[in-house]
Amino acid sequence: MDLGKIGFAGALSAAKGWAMPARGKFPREEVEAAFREYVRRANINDWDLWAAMFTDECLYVDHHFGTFTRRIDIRDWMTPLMATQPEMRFIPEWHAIEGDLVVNYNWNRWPNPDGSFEPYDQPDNGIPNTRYRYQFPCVTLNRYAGDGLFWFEEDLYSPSAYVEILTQWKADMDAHGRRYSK
Amino acid sequence: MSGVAYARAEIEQTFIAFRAALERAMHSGDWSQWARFYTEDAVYVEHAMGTFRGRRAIHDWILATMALPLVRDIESFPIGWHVICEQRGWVIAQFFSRMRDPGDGSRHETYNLTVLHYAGNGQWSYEEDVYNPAHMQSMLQNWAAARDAVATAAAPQRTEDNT
Repeated sequence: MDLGKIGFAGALSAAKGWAMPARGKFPREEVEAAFREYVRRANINDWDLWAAMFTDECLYVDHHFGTFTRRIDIRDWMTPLMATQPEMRFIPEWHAIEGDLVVNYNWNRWPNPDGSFEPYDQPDNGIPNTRYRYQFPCVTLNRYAGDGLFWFEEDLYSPSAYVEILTQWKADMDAHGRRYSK
Repeated sequence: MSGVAYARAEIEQTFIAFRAALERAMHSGDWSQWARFYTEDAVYVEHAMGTFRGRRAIHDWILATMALPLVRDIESFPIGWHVICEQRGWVIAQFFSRMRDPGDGSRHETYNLTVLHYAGNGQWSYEEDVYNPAHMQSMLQNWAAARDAVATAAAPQRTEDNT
């Protein structure tokens, strides 16, 4: 698999999204509320419900997995994918909102294999993010469409870091004799 | 976070001056004026190349990096969109790495997400660049292939008669 080529194709798709104007003027509180709901749904292993946060026609660019242009395609990609890694959590470190854009610096995280610093799946658990050994940063860029929905997402992260950390996490889980989804 | 808020205009002005210094450094190869936009104890997190602590380390790293093969053929770092978060004193921007024309007029570029923390006095205390390193690598290789294709096409043709 050529990660570079996939990334390049993704960037071309994303450029079309960035060239599009905002779909309206939205109160900051409304965008904030939609983002909070998006994060909530990303952490309960119900990816059909999460995918429902997108408009029917949309643009989702993941530089590893590809480009998706319909809500049902996002769902059909994400739901089976996340069924294979239900331990993964999505913890925002910070986010910024301007107009229709939400910039979210996110930790894609797995639990510590030694069981420390639980629960690991709550953003406001008071535990410094540096205490988690298996996570990688992923910046998610979402554009809001109104009605609680997003019409655009682009994820910026290092796919090789993702694959490497997941592989190491599984090895460490094995070393601790802990079960996880294969 | 310190909780100190800065005026949006001051942050914006620094961002504009910073980008102008960036372009000047690209052309002159002298990165000292660009480095002055970082505080003495600034931290620069580059997701593929590492974390650099202190203005001197940031300066020495950029100087060495910008002299690397292919990287030295980057023509400019224009921005796409940018967001100023006044409450935090941050700039979040889409920064392109745009290559010079390889000779066939084709455009080669990629972008990263950059976060800058403003620290007052026209300086940043933190920068972080987030991107897909494999994508950057692929872009640079595509540019090199285009450049080589142009060079090959321009080279004198050898014929069997000359051997």
